[in-house]
Amino acid sequence: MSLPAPSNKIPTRDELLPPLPLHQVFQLIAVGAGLVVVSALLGFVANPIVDSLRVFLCFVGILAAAVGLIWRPNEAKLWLAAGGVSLLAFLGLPAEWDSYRLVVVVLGAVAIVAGVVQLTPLKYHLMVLTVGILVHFGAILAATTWPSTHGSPGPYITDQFAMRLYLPYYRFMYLGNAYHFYSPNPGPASHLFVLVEGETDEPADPDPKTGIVPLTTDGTPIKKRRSEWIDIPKRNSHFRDPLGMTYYRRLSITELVSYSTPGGVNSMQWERNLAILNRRNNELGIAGTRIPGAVRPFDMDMTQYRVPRLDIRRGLHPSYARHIAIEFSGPRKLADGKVIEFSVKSIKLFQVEHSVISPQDFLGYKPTEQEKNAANGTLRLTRIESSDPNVPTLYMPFYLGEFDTTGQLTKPDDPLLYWMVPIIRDPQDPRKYIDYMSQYAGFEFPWKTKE
Amino acid sequence: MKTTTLRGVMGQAWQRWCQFWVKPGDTTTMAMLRIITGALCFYVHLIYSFDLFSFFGKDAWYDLQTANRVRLEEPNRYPSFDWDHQHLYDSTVMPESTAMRKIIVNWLRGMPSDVEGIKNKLRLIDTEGILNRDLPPVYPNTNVMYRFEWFAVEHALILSPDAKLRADAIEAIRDKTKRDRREAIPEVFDLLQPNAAPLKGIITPNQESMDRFLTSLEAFHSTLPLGPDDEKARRYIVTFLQEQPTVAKNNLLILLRETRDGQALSSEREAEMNYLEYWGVDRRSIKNGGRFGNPIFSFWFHVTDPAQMVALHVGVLVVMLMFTLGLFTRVTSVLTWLAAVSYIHRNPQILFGQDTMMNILLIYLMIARCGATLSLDRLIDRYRVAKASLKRSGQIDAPTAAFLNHAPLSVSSHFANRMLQVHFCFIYMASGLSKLKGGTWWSTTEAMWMTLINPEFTMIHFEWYRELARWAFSSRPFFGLFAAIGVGYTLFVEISLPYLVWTRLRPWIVILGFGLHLGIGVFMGLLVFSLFMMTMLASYIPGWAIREFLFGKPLSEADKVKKTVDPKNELAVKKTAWAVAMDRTGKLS
Repeated sequence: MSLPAPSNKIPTRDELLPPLPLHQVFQLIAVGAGLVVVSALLGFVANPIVDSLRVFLCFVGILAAAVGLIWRPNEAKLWLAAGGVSLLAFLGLPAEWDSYRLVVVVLGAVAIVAGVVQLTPLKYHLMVLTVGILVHFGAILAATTWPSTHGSPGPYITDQFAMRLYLPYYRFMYLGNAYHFYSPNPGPASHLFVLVEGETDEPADPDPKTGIVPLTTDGTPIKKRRSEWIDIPKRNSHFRDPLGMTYYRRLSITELVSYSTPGGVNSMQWERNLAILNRRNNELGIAGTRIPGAVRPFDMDMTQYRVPRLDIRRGLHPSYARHIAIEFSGPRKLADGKVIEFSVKSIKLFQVEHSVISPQDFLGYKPTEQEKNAANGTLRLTRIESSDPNVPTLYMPFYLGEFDTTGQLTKPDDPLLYWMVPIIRDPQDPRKYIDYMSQYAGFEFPWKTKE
Repeated sequence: MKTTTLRGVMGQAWQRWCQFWVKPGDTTTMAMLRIITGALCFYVHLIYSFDLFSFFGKDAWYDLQTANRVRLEEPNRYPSFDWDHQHLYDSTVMPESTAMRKIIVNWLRGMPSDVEGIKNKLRLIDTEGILNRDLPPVYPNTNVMYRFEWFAVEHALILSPDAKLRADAIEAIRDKTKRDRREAIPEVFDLLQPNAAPLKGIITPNQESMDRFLTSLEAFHSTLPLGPDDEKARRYIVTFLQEQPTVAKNNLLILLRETRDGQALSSEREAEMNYLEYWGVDRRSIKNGGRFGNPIFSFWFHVTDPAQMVALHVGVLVVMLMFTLGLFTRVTSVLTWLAAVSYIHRNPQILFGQDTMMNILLIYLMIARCGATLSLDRLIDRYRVAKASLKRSGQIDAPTAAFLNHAPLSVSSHFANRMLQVHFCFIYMASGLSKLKGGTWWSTTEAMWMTLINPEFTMIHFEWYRELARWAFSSRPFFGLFAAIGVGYTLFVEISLPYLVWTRLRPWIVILGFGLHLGIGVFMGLLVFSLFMMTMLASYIPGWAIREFLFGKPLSEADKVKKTVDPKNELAVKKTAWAVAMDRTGKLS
C-alpha cells in the first residue's frame, strides 16, 4: 500500500520562524568581503606565513558570504553580492594557489548567473534550467560516445563537442568518464614488479681469496650492495581496511603504467621497425642470456612490444621511480630483525600482466598433443600444465626501464625497453620454468614467497 | 479538450518537461542518499589516512612536479573542421624513444643563435628541399627514380662520417654523365648500406644549382654530431627529418628562425624545445588550435608540508562527517564536493569507478536540499519551530504540527533527484551497450570466466573459493548455462533499466539492479564501487517508502499525545521542544 505524497501545503521553516533580517545578512556578506579585501592587501607582503593567512582569510570570507546566502536564498541581490565576494577572492588568494583561484572564479560566476536569473520572470528560470540540463547531459552523452571502437574513432561530432566545448567541464567537474566498465572485454589485471638496488651502510663482504674488503678509489670500504623485489599490489600486505581500498588504490597504480600508445599518425613506423630489429638482433646474447622473442604462438612482435603512452613514459614512470627511491631509502628492517641503512641507487620497473588461467588448466585437464605443440600458432592460449592461477608462467612482464633516483631513464637505448621479458615453461622439464625477467634484471624474483 | 495545434502540442510538451524536472518534491530520498554517500565518502577519505603522503604528498607516487606539469602544460589539440587532416600534420612528430628524442632535441638546441647562421645551416632542408617527402625543387620533372637517387644522396653524404667519402661523392655528382636510371637502381640501393661506395651518375639540372646545393649540404652536415660513435645519432636525425610532414617541418624551421629585432629568441626557443622534448608536439601547433593544461583544482597542489597536510586532512574528515550527519548541509555539501574532487584531481592514478560514482552523487547532493530531513539541520529546525510554537501558545499548533509531521518539500531536491536518475540511465546504457562491442561478452563463457577467476579481483585466493569454482564449473554444460544466464542478466539489466525504470516495472528492475551490484561486490571484489552504485539505484526509491521503512506508518490522531506547557516557563518550553524535536514517531504533538 502506498502512502499519499505529502501535501503541497506544508509550511516552510521561514513561514514559522522569522527569517534573518536582510540588512544583517548583508552585514555578514560585507564582513566576508572585508576579509577577502584584507587578504588581497596582504598580497603586498611577500611571506609564506602571510600567504597561509591569506588563504585562511579568503576561506572564511567566502564561507561568511555562503552562510549569508543560505539564510536568504531567494534574494537575488545576495547571490550577486556573494558572487562578488567569491570573485574578489581571486585577488585575495596568493598566486601560488592558482587552482583555487579558478575555483573561486567558477563559484563567483555561478552565483552571479543565479542572481541575474532570479531577477528575471519565472519562465526564464525554466528556460535557463532547460539549457543547463541539455548542456550537461550533452556532455555526458559526448563522454559516453567518445571512445574509439575497434580502431575506428568515436563520432566526429562528439569529438568536436568534447574537445572544443566540454573538455574543461569534464576536467573541472571530473565528469568525463565513458562508463564503459569491463568493456569491450574484461581483461587481466597488472602488477608492478620493481627491483630496487642500492647500498647498505655495511662494508661489502671480504674477497674470499684475500679476505680483504675491497676499497673505493678514495680508500673507504665499498658498501655492501642489496637488491630487493617489490610487488605492487600484494593482497595480504596492502589489504589494510575492511573494504580493501588500500589494495585497490594500488591496483589502479599498476593499471595505468601499461596504457599503450595507440597506432596512429603520432606513431613513427620506422621507429617501431627499428625497435623490432634491435630486439631480434639481441635475441641471442644479452648479457650472455638468450631471451626468446615470441613466447606464445599468438604473440606477434607488436603484442610483445608495448610502448606506454607518452605522458606515462615521460611523467608517470619517472615519478614512480622517484617515489620508490625516497620510500625505500632509509632504515630497513630485515627478516632477521636487523636494521640497516639502505640507500637506493637504481630502480628497474616491470609492468606484469597477470593472465587469467584457462578453464582447462584450472580444472586439471591434461593438454592434448595439439596444445603441447602450440607453436604452430593455431591456439589462442598456451597451456601452463598447472591448476594454480598464480603460477609464474601466467605472469607476462614488460620491461619499463631502469631509472636512477631522480627518475632519469639510465639506459634509454636498452634493446629490451618496453618489450616482454617472458617467464616460460622449461621445455626440458614442464614442472619448472625459466624466469627471463629475473635473469635480465640480475636478481631472482621471490616467486616462492609471493603473496 | 484535446489540443491539436502545433502550438498546443508544444505547450503541452513544455509543461510536461517542466513538471518532470521542476516541482516541489519529497526530500527524503536525497536525504537518505546523503547519509549513505556521506558515510562512504568519509570511509574512503579516512582510509586515505594510511597513504596520505604516498598519494598526495610532494613525493607521492604521482609526484607534485609531474602533476603540475600535466595540469599546466598538457596539450589538448582540437580536431579539424576540414577533411584534409592537416591539423594532424602541423606539429613536429617526435620519436617515442627517449634516447632518440634526446638526440634530436639536442641537435635542434645546437643550432646557431643568429638568424643568418640558422638560415645557412638549414638551407638544405629549407630551400633545397632535401630530406623531404616531396621531390626536391631542383628537379623539374616528376619521376620516381629521382626519389631513389635523392634518398641515396641523403644516406651516402649525410650519414657518412668520412669526409673523403663525402668529397668523392660530391665529385661524382658533379660528373653530369647521363645514364639510364633503371641501371642505377642497384647502385642506389648499394648506397643505403653502411660504407656505401660513392654515388655516380646522379643527374643535376645545372651547375649553378648543384654548387648551391653542395654548399648547403656541407653546411647542414656540419650541424650533425660527427663523433666516431655518432652514426646512430646521425641516422636518427636524418630519418626524423625525412619522416616529418612538410607542414610540420616548415613550422619547425619557422620556430628556429623566429626573431625579434633581428635576434633569435633563445629563451623562447629553449622553452619550445623543452615542450617538444617532454610532450612530443610543437607548442605552437597547440596555440593555433587547442588548449594547454587542464582546469583542475586541488589543495594538495598547494599544501605539501606534512603537518599542514595532516591538519587539512583532519579538517576534511570533520567536514565530511558533518555532511553525513546533515549539519550545515548547504555549506558542507559544497565543501565535501570541493574536498573530494581535490583528492581526485591531485592523483588520478589511484582512481577507479567508485570515485566517479562518488563524485556524481556529491554533485547532485550539492544541488538538492539533502539536509532538509534525516539530518541534524532538520533536528535543529524542529526544535526551533517547536520552541517557537510552545512559546506562542504553550502547545504545538497546527502549522507547526504539519511542519513536524512531514518531510519538507523542495524543488531543488526533486530536480537533483531527477538529474541523478537520468544520469544513472546514461551510465547503465553506456555500460551495457559498450559490452556488446566485445567478443567475450557474446561468447558469455569467456567474459564470465575472466570476471569470476581473475586473481586480483575475485576471492580466488581463498582455497574454498577455488574448490567451489572447480566443483561448480567441472560440468561444462552447467558453466555454459551459468555464464549465459549471468551475462544475459547483466546485459538485460544494464540495457533495459533506462527504459523500464520509467514504467510500472520500476521496482522490479531496480531490485534486479541491486542484485547485479550485489553480485559484482561479492564475486568481483568491488565492494565500495557496488555500494555507490546501489546508492545511485536508491534514487529511484520514493521518499514515502523510505520514511515508512525507517519510522513505520504515521500514527493516527488518537495515538498522539498532546503536549502543553506554560509558555513563560523557559526551561519547560526548551525541554518539551527537544522532546518534540527528537520524537521521530510523531507521537508527541
